[in-house]
Amino acid sequence: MNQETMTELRVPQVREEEKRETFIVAIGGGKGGIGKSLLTANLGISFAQSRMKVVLVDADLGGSNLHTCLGMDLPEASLGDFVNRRAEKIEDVIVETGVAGLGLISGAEDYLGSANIKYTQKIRLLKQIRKIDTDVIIMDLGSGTSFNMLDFFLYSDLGIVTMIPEPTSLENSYRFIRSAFYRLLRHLEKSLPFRKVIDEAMDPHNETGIRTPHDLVRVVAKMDPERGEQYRAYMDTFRPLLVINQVRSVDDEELGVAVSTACRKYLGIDLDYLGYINYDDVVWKTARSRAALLRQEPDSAVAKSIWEIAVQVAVRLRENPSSTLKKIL
Amino acid sequence: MRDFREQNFYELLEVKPHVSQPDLERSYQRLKRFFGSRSVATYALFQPDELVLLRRRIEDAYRILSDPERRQRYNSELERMDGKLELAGTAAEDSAVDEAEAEAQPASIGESHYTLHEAGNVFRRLTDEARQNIERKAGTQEGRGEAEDLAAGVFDSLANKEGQAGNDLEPDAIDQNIPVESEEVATPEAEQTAAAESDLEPVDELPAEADTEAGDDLEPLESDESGPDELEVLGEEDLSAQGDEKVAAEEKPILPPMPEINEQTIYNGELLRQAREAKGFSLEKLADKTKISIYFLRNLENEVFDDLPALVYVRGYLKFIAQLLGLDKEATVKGLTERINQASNK
Ligand SMILES: Nc1ncnc2c1ncn2[C@@H]1O[C@H](COP(=O)(O)OP(=O)(O)OP(=O)(O)O)[C@@H](O)[C@H]1O
Ligand SMILES: [Mg+2]
Repeated sequence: MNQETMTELRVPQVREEEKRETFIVAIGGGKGGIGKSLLTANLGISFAQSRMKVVLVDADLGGSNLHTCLGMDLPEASLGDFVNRRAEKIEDVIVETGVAGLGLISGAEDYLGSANIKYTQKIRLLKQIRKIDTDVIIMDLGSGTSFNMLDFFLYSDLGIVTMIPEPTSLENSYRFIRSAFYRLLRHLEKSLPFRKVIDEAMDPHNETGIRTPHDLVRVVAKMDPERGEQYRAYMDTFRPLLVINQVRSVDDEELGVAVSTACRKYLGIDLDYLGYINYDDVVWKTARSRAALLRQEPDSAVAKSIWEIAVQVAVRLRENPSSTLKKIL
Repeated sequence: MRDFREQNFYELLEVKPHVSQPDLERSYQRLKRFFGSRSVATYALFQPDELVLLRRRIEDAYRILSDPERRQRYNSELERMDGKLELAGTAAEDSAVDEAEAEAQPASIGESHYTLHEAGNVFRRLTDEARQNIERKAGTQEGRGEAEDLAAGVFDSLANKEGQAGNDLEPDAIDQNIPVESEEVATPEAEQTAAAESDLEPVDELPAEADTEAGDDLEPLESDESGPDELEVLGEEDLSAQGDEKVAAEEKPILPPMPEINEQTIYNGELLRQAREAKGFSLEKLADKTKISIYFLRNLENEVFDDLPALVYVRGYLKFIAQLLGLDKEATVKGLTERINQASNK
């Protein structure tokens, strides 16, 4: 049923409307082990099974394991080959996954080479990724709030924040969202004094006491009212998406809405809640048998909830989202 | 999107102005759950005192909007204020900030340096004063979960806070309020990030900044001369509390006299108004200082008693207002609650 919905929603304009750039969806969330790879792999499968062309990118520079969630061995070609120019074109490092229409760019296995990718390399990489001839790219981000991860997230047209119902995960996700927004402002802001204020805000223990985007806007508006308005407008356009994973109780089910509301009230950022995934042993069972969940256990509750999320993503893609960062790089 | 402190009642309850009664109710119940003491969603976002404030505002909003008559009155008030009802406090504070900044800005400091310092100053002015010092108290009261204790606790600590010198506005005090867990998580990751990022530095792109701007891999910036120690020195110069006193002192001559207080004094709305004016506070300023909606403050002064929050809250309000205005707390609370009770018995 969801597959049908999906096929209908299938970003059709993408292929027909000439030369629409590829959509990029990024999946991040600050913390490790919260299901980013699980979601990336299975979203990819659901899109591909709905007859869209998809390429997954393991952008977890240094800790890549997306192939495992697809039930694959570590591919020979990887992103590292492209970054270090061993491969000429990015298409050269896309490998088949066994699912029709689904390609994979595996993460860079040589930690030192790619985890510390330089800024110019990063921009080149992002631009090349967007040029890949496909409908949708889904990037699996590493954990943490490094500038690399934030930039990958901001360069995507839809950025999904994954979270599990645990305090540390909540905290990391909030920090991730806040940092991503500051990072976006930092890219957009050309004036040195204001950049310094944004830098200050990025430090959670900063001297100025700025704790939230609201605080930042207030401070900036005081120094330059027009700018303050502009910042506020950026706040309104920054719309990350939220998925809650490993839900175990009825209370957890409501957590997504609660988190999104809290985020709105406190950070002033509209966190768009997509849905949740239940905690289920079927996840590690399929992982153990080295298979992709959506293929091995298509009727499991987890598979169904991933389909629901996929539909939500497809709905958002229809609205033609476009990264703000893309426009200025 | 505005800070919840600046949202009007509709925005607070996340409903449209034409919301139906059942939808309003639903939204209110949901928010109550989300921001209740058992909710996890607020973890690592809100300080306990902020939560108390938010909950109170949600209660206030619901109380008014759920009653058709009150809602009607609130709507016309909103219109009259051009939709800026809840914003008033911020604007009113501005002039005071300007003055304080003009004083605080030494002529010789560099541009970017000044801006940071200024940012800190502005922030401390505009930030919710309640945020800093009442955490422990509010936190324990919350555990008990009784509305009356909660309200009393918050207002007592707000009142205490108000009487103290400006030293609890220092950043250290703010940092202490961060839950322990958050520090544990924050520190290693922050270090890790910083370390990783400094390696990313494209040396050819940022020659001068490599040391001071670790982690900044954006476009090169103009060089910045200010050092960290200068910054600290300036930080200490932030004397927001003293600045306030100074402004008040300068204005004193043109203020109306404090109302005479004797045996015959009736503690009513009019007295509140006179005392406020004698202090040189606008309603907006008082609203900002107390974080009580200007709508309620005005209703108290005008004795429009049927448009007030629950009595336990009002008592807390009154205590705090009396303290700020230099009125006898007990007499104020007693006098006004009597008048409120009289009015409701009619
Ligand atoms: N809904 C779930 N139910 C049960 N187990 C789950 C669920 N989601 C994830 N897991 C388990 O949690 C672990 C982490 O999942 P995953 O690798 O997808 O997270 P990740 O965010 O990509 O982690 P990393 O940051 O290390 O890459 C895996 O062992 C996976 O099997
Ligand atoms: Mg992973």
